[in-house]
Amino acid sequence: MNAARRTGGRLGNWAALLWPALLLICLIPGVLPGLINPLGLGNVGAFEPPLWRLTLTHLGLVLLSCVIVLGLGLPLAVAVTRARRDALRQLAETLVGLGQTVPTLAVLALAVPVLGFGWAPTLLGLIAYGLVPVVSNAVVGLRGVSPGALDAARGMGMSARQRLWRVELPLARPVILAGVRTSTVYNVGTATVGAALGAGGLGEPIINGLSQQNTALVLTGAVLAALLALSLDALMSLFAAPH
Amino acid sequence: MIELHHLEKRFGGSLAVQDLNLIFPDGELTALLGPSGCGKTTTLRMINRLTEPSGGRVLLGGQDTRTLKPEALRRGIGYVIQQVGLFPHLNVAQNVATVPDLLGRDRRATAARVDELLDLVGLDPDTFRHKRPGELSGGQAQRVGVARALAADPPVLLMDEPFGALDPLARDRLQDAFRDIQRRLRKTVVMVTHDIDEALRLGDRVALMNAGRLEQFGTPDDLIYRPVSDFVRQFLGEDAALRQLAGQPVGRFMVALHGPDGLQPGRAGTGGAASPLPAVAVEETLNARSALSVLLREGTDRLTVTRGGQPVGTVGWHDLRASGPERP
Ligand SMILES: Nc1ncnc2c1ncn2[C@@H]1O[C@H](COP(=O)(O)OP(=O)(O)OP(=O)(O)O)[C@@H](O)[C@H]1O
Ligand SMILES: [Mg+2]
Repeated sequence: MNAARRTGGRLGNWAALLWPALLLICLIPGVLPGLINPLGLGNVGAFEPPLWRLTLTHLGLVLLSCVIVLGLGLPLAVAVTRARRDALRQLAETLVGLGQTVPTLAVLALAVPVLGFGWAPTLLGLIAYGLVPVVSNAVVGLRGVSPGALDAARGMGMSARQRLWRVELPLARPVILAGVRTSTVYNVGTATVGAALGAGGLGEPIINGLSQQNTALVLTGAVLAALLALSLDALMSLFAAPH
Repeated sequence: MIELHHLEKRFGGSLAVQDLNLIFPDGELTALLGPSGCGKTTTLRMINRLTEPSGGRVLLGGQDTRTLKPEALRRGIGYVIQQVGLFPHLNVAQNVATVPDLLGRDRRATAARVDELLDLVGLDPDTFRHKRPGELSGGQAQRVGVARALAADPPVLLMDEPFGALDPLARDRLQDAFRDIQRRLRKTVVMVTHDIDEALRLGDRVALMNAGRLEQFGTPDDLIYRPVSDFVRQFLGEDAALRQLAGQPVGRFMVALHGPDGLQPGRAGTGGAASPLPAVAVEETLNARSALSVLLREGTDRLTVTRGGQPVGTVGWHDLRASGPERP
């Protein structure tokens, strides 16, 4: 049975590499224009900066925001789920929830006067949006840890820190990772808006395409962003799988 | 030895435990018995400071537990809870190894210890070592819980209704297994239960609580034959003596035969030196309650007790009552 599960896992691993592979193929210069131009939606030539560069910028923005979101969100979720902090938890959930009710464009526009144009306001927006699923999932995951296991951990003589690292976080891990996955995938889409602020990334061909009424250009950005989102989702499903 | 001195726990306005004075002797199993809500769990958790007392003291081996770090105190005390509380993300071996790991014990020695303990609680190490708690039956999980509590070889074991969630058959088996384990290890055990049969069966002593106070502390015989109050009598019920007999093999009450040919009852007053054995015989493994029932049914005073068909002793109703069962 164990062996069967392992082969199943390996098959899953290979399937997860399908989207990243497709993405890489589309980034080979000339491949994507070759596919899109025949559709007659417009004309796509060589890109400056090249598509792989836009994709890397985009990926960099998303991953950086993801790391910062984890660095902020996880400690926050841990802090508010300690005993006798129900009031704090509700406050945090409200504040984090607010981040999502304000429209993306508004967050970005508000950030520009403070941070100027470029990648900084975009990063801020991505962090604000990315926090929501990470914090709320982490809170749900940590609160869902079985009271029996926690009581046993305390009774065995684990300190608060040991309980957190040895029991709570491992048990909440799948739920937390699901939150990170959602947050990251959403942010691939959100980051395209950043191009309007000069952050670069895959939003650039989309915005240029809109202003030049060149649908093929829009399609190029959209296809790459979608492939990037699917790739990240697939790669992260590998981490989320129970081991 | 665990001593409770004027122990008290207040939750809001109400006292869950009040002025509790008790001594749990070394190497004995004390059953903490009482109706639901009488404060058994609270008392147990005050011993390892999962609940902080609001008054009084707990001494462990003469030392006030307040002078110890709670984590250090708890690592020296085995703890089994009713919900079992195995860690679902760790396999059986890792679960059992929890406290040795916390204490920084050598990995290889711990692995050997884990196998030894799984054997002890009746689980084949090769089969169960790598299983997850989710793959275990209730009884198996409970056994792992007991093994985990014993892993660091603590002198003291606290158990909160350890067999409570099991069906009667599994409970009987596990109680038997645990009695054998305790006979070998001689830990100082405090076992919370509201099951009278379990308390009488496993307890060297029984502490009967009522509404946060100690009602009576003594051997099962004390409670059955010398109850100090109506509450004790009523709680144990009119058939308490029978229930106690039900948990013991009749062989434990018999008067052994003397002589190599085993034909002479060893007790004066049961007949002359050459008196014949009673006509009705029972096996020594039969429970004493059933033996008493046979006495009543046959209208006789004594039975022959046999081992594998060979007479090894005799037993009369007087033996079943007299001093109560001797405890091994
Ligand atoms: N954390 C708590 N807060 C408030 N009251 C409590 C708390 N824990 C226990 N109590 C109260 O203290 C009393 C004793 O509870 P305890 O759990 O010790 O009973 P018990 O004898 O173990 O009962 P049971 O057999 O049902 O487990 C009960 O009235 C209970 O409601
Ligand atoms: Mg209880």
